[in-house]
Amino acid sequence: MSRLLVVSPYAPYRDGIAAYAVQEVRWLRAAGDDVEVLSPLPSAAHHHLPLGRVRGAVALLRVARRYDRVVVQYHPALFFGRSSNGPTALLTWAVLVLLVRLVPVELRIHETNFGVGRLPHRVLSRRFLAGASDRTVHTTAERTRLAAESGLAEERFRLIDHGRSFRTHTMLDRPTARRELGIDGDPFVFLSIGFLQEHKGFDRALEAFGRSGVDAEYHVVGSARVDAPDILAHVHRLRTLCATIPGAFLHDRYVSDAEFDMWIRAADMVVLPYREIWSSGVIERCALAGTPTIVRRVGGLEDQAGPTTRLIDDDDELVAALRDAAGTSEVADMDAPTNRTEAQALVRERAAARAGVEVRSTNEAVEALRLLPPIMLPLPTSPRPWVTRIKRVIHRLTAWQLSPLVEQVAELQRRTVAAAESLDAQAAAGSVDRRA
Amino acid sequence: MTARTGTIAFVPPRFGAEVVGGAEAVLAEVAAGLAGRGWQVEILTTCARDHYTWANHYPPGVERNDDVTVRRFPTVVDTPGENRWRVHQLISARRRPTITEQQLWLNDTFRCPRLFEHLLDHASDYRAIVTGPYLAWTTFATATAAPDRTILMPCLHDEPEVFLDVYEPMLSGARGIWFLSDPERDLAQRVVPSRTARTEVVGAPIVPPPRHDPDRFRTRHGIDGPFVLYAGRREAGKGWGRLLDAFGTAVRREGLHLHLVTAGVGDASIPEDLAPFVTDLGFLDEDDRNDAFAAATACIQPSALESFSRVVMESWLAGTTVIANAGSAVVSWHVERSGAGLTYRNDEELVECFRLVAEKPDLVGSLAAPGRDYVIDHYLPERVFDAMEATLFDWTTP
Repeated sequence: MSRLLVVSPYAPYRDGIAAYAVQEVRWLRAAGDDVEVLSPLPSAAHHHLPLGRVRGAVALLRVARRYDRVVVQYHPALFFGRSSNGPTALLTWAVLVLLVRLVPVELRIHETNFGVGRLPHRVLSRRFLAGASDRTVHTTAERTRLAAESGLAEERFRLIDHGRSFRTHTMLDRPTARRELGIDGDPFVFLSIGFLQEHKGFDRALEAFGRSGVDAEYHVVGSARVDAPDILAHVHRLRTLCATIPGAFLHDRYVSDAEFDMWIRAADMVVLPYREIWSSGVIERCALAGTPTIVRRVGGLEDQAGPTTRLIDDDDELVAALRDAAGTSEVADMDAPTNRTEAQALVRERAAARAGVEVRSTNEAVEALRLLPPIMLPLPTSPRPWVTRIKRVIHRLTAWQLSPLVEQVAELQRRTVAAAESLDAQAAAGSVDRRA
Repeated sequence: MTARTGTIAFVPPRFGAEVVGGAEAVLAEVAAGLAGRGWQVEILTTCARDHYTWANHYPPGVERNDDVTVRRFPTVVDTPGENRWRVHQLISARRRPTITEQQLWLNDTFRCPRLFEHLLDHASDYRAIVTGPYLAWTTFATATAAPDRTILMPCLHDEPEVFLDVYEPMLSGARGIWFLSDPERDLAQRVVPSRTARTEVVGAPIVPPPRHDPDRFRTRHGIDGPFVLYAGRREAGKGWGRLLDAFGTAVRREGLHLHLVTAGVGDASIPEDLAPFVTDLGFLDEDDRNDAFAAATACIQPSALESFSRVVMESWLAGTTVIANAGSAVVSWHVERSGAGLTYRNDEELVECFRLVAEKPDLVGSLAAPGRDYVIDHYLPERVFDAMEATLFDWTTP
């Protein structure tokens, strides 16, 4: 039995890599290994360190030497935050090179930044990769790309089955799953599921569904993980598309693992129209459920494709695949205008559908104000008792001056939001020009 | 007859004779009750006793507690609480934090990785894993590790936290949910309108004490005359501060001749000028506490955040009227169904309740008459355990 440290985002955080890590930890432990987990944020992991900072990576060196080997669920954000460039990133790469020299490190590569940055960054990243005791990827496309980026031979990247440690979270059959989800009748059901982000391409799939004219339902299921303006705008676009395309539905919800699999079980066809991706856990979950997929040929998805996967390259192929799946013969493209009147009508219809997005973008200003966290004095606490004591002394000495200022700013913030909301409401009612 | 085969695990955040907490008490009683009916039962819990510090108090490992196996796992408290505090400000201001912020908030408290690890390894050994309350990290971790075996006893309160996105998968993805009351189930349907797990309103088991002795209580503590009782945690969240304020108004402004007796944990923080009118008995043992209910003219339940309220049941079993905060839909529901008490909607109404106690104690006392039968009809352990077992047979397989 070897002592293993898995370095990864971890439950109860819920994202693809955290879920992958939980399932691999369960699998490794069942195989007899003594596994502990280290995560970048406090979680159900045994340890946590701020890995996105150099000091976190340095601390990882101290922890890692206590284990026989280390498994890293590698993606750039784990160690580099938002930037893989600059002096901080260079230091982090240097520490990671030390890590692979200190202890055997297995890399499960989910995303890459190995070919990014200036020459010193690239040199160190190659040394890190080359020094790892094992490098695994999920698709041959990833392997080829990594080999090109790193200069290492393709044979040094081992292919593993993405879904080898996955377990299904539902035992329901299709009719029961549909009943549970409130899908009435017996429609042909297309599904796209996951966090709502532009790179997932759910919007293009909905547009293709609208063009296809098939007699079916298209369900998009997922939620926005953060309230960034671009993501809010994307969700609003999906909502607008679903409102204007018959048979399309958006379920803007944060669903459980069981419900996630229940949707896959309920669907006749899962569509992965991704604009960009390395590899996908959704395909593996579809394989577990026996649900066929339509998958855009991007990243390593082609390698993950099974016998019931139909690969597509563009939106026209997607339209054809939707029609074939639903057993609908080619029909006239409903959106294709044949004369000026129809073209004008189409332009107006589309503009009207987009109008909602435009209105939303104005509201985003209010939303952005509303989402500003309230200003407040930091809590005088720390895991280290002596630091807490010092913070409390500082807090007592300065609070009489700072507190009134904080209250004043917080009040200003509240009133600004209220004023903006009021103005927006008046604008919506037409009594005030929105530009005011 | 379906066989009682398989092991049922219970995951309360704390467990032990000295642990004070409504949800923990309910889970412990249900565990013991089902063990008494022949089920194999395990308690999976932390080593903590105190819900303020979550410090490890009990040793980790396995112990036997009557018919129940208890496995304890150490807590980890190593974060400064800044994220929890910052996001709590957003939640309190009724702003919606992002899912990422909610996850930071959820994990910036005590955690119990070894318990999570045990669930990863052994969840399939259990027929069902019963866990609650919903705000505890242990509950969220259990529902994440083994949703298909989780039966939630969420003890939901109508508070901003319950509407956070992170709880939606927990409420919709569990194997089933045991609710303590109809209003709690209604709240869950408001939280997850589109889809909740299978649910059943089972209530909580209440065991009538063998005897109540009000005279023994008065003699032991030297208390004469009519008094109102508050028994519970002395915390702002439980309404203690507002109760004290209203009592102060009743005594200072209205000049009512009334005494308030309080028992429980937490700093009572009694203002100096109210000290002659308030008696703080601290933590009482069970017999003494039951006697206190019987000796009181009325028992006050000032908390708006209740998912069941054991003190209300204990008060009625002792034949004592309940005066309750109408802000709690659950307690109002109990009072309306039983007719054994009064509710107040604001401080002035509470002051008027106090006036009624001071001026018409017999009338107030007589209101309790239907209360005891209400508890016996609905919450005797046999009834509650029957309902729970029916769902175990229906929802789970060995």
